[in-house]
Amino acid sequence: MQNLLSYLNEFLIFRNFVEVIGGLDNTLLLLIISLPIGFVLSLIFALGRVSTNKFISKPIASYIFVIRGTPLLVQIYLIYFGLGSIEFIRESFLWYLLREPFWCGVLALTLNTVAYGSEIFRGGIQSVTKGQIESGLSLGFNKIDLLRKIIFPIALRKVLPSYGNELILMVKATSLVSLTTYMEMTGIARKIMAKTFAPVEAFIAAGLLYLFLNFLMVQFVKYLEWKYNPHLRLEQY
Amino acid sequence: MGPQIIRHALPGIGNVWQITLKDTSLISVTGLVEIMRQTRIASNVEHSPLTFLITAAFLYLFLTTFSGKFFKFLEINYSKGYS
Repeated sequence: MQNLLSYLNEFLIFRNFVEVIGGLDNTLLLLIISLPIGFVLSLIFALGRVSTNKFISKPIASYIFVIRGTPLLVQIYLIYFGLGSIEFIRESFLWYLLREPFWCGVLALTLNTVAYGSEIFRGGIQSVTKGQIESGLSLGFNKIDLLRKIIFPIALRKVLPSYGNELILMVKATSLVSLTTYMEMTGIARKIMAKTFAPVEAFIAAGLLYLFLNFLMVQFVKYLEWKYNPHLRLEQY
Repeated sequence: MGPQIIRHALPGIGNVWQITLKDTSLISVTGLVEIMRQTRIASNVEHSPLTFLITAAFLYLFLTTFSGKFFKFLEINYSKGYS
């Protein structure tokens, strides 16, 4: 075992791999905080987006338009460099959060995923047919029950493939947070590149780890699809 | 065959175009001087990142909006005779 380790240590890629894995926790931390918050907020925003009240739906529509129309890199820079240059924010309590690249990253990723996610959920909510809602109303459901028992289950299972796609995009989007000096996997790979002048080995190690993360994410989404679409499962004989 | 294929492919192509347009900002990391790189340089010189970053955001917004309108026009144009 000792022999094998010392043998593997002669390979640059193996050493890089071990070093880049050290950034895995930071990448996961970004995802673990921003994805659940993003999920809940996108559901709320999607409901607001389909609302008939113009004062609710219009601001949300323009928020989605702006976030989807600008690159994530610009949003991260705006939050990290832009907000920090405002005197007012530097003096308020927000500064305790926004001076950390981590919280800037969480904020940018959440804003981004909420915009894309709420458009996905809006499609799902609008695909619930009128008859299904009327059947709920005829049973005397109030608005909350209607949402909880009819609209969300039908809408969520319909949007699972496209929301899974968004989740995978988010895993890859975390790499952009490294540009705000946050040391997650890509940040460490960049550090290795600057130190050893061997970019290929550094980024292959990081790439393999992202591939692994996304593989897990795909399996997770597949499991959810299998679980919530029992009527689509193949017959087991 | 061409017109029929294009008619069905246009929404997808439009989507890919929008995504790629936004991903061009990532090239700035490698040092090519495009909108994002220029923005970083300018904000470093002037010490006012907010102004330049908002300008960049508006530029990207402008580009995506108008190319979106262009694709909408193409879609309508290629759907003539269907409906």
